[in-house]
Amino acid sequence: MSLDQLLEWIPAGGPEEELARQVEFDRLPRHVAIIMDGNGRWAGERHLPRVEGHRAGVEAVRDVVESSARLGLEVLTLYAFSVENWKRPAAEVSTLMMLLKRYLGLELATLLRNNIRFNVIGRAEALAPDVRTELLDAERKTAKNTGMLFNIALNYGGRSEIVDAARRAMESGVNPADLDEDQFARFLYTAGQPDPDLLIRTSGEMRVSNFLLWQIAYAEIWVTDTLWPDFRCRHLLEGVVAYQKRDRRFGGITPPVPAGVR
Amino acid sequence: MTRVLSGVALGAVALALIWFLDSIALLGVALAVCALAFHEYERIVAGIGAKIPYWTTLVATLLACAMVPFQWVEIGAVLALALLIVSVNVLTSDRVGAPLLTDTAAAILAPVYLGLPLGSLVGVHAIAGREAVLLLIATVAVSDTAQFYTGRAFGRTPLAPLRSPKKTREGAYGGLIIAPLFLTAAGMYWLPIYPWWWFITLGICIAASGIIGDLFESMLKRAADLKDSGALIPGHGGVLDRIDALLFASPVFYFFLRLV
Repeated sequence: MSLDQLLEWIPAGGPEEELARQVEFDRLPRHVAIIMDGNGRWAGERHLPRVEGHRAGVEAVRDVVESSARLGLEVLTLYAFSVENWKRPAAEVSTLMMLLKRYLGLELATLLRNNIRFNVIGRAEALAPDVRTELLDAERKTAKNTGMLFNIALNYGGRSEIVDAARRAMESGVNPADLDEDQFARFLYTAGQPDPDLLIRTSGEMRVSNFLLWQIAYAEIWVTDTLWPDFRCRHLLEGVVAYQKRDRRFGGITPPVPAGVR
Repeated sequence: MTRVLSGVALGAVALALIWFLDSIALLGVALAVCALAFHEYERIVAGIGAKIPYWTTLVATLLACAMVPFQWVEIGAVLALALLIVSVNVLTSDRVGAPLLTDTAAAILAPVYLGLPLGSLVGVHAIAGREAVLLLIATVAVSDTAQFYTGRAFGRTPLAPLRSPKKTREGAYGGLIIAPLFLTAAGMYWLPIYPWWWFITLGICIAASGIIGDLFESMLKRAADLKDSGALIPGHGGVLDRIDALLFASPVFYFFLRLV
């Protein structure tokens, strides 16, 4: 939640510490969303099968989740599995699900220790029952935590989220003339959460890939060439520092608002 | 003096290869080491009375080594193939009776005992990087040294008098305590992604498997009535003598890494 908590966690005297000291803690992004890309490429560079890249990617998740909580982010959203990812080979999909279960088993203690609330966004009902049980269990056990909210996007698609929201809006019987943006946002998976201020994408790709389409309307986008398995606290801090150097206008003209000032 | 000089030179070369080569090139080195170790292994088991088909077993062993690190083929498939080609060779030999089983077993042991571990070592390099390989080698070395010195200082009870008369239980405890502590301290710095209890558990497993590997190789040599596995390294004996503990420890480390 502060510089001290972060300094406890990162190696002293390294580039992390230097970056941590550059962060202005009074204007942190409230919500950071990350498109975790590059696991396959990471594995390819090492002549390893793709699944080894995902395995290595889990380590990056562990590091980034705890770093974000210590940094003091309100919300962290990781794009783990998209509605389109089912097109991948069955063996890769089942390994991803197995890794997800293993991650939850290993990291639940870390989530609890860091007061992190775990939340799944996406069409989770389509996941295998054993995976769903683990997810619900983690959500239930961390439900009372008051620290960072950690969203994991599983079987997620930005367009399907909007479609789901539209369905829910219609089911709720809202009068079409009364429906405005704020009200519509309450039907999204991220109801009640601040929109992402910073969207990070790894592996150098310049795409949004159907991620949080509604919510990233005014997000600052920061792309790094680092592949996801190599992504660590240091890169997260680089992203935050870069974000804080930007001016955000939210469609206005003057005066530009430095990022994070509300 | 020869022993110190060749030890330092060998260590420096190994270190440089692990540090500067990429995983594929390192596999080439591992295959070469594997072939040398196999050559010594063949001589040892011949001393015990097993006649293994040299070339087919060598190919099976190298294949096992090559297929592990990049998971090109499932390791089970490689072992099945090894069994197949070794069996064909044994079937066509002129031996009869109990020695046949000895021959087959000794041949099948080679891919498991030599190929798999050296392949795992390259696998550690590919998955977790050169730091992890050095960490493994350093832990095995620390465990060996700790066993030697605690054994010399407090050694009373022999560990396995039949296999290796000089080894003591107290020495083994020294390795089992000091190696995990070293691995935890070094690991928290070099591979900070894992929690401390992970390193402690892994350290105990590495030390234990190292001790077993060491005893196993002594046992083979004793059975063959040999002092050293070879004479390749001046003052150090053979390749197998150098890597005996590592052979049992590296698959442990590799599969630990793949477990997470």
